[in-house]
Amino acid sequence: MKITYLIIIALMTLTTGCANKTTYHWGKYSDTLYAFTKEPTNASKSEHIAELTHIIEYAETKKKLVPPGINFELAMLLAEDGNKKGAKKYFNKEKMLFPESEKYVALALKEMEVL
Amino acid sequence: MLKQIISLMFILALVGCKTTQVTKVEAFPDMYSEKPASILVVPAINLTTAADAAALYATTIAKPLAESGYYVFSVPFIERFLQREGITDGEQVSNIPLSKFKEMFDADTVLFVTLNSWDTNYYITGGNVTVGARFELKSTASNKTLWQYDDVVVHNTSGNSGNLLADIIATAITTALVDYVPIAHIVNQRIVTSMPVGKYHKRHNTDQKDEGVIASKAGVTN
Repeated sequence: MKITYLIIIALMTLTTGCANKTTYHWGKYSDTLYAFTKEPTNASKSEHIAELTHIIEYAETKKKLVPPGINFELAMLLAEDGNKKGAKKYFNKEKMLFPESEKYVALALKEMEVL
Repeated sequence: MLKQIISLMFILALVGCKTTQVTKVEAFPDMYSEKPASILVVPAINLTTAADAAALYATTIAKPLAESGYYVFSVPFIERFLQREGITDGEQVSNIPLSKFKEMFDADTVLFVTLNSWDTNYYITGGNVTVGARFELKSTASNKTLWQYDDVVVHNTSGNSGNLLADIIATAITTALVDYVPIAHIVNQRIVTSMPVGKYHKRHNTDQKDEGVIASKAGVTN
């Protein structure tokens, strides 16, 4: 009986150990995005903005990779709040990290000026 | 003689249950010839009775796709963009020519997700939470379906203390508390594992022979 428990614990440690090996640094992205989607309030929005900013800063200082879309999403939220300068900075970061985003970053920048 | 018949029946039963597994390249050859780099996720087609399932589900999908090595367009941005065009449901997206997504966003593929179940079931001595989804990745260049998969996760919330009354109460409490989102993460994980990895993954273009793609779930018929 004891051995079974030990094996279960060993397996759990092994699997959790493996689960942490992601290519990108995600922080609590899924959690804050979920909270903001479920109840879109000013508080849940600023929390999501803070988490996105934190992911980018943490990844840059610790030499980790920022996931695709993170810089873009932060830029979008800043644009919504009227912070065009901040938005431009992060839209351009997205484009530098991922060349696939070039066309839609250009579209988003254009939209920001129009909307 | 009877023994032989019984063992024969057992073998037949086993063969019947055995799921046919194929390799990634056998199931999804077009993924390797087209080598898409980016995925644009459109709003999910919601066939469940939970009105908010599609919106909540959308928050879980970017991570597994990005970890599989693909560039994923911001899901909330695409959602809002389509909303302004009057498109709020995945069903409506199927009327848009795929080439439009190439033209506007330079997306190589569009991912359609159909939510088949997002349910809580109670019965006297037990309960479960079920999340099921079907994925279809379509090329914006060739209009072909490059990859598809469907899966269901049933999370059992039954109490099992052996005391019937305690179990009924425990089941009711845990079933009510269970959040769909962690289960959606498990579904994504299981589904995305079958997808050939993209250019940002270190195993890009070397996973052709990976096994474990369940033929029936991948829509492979033969």
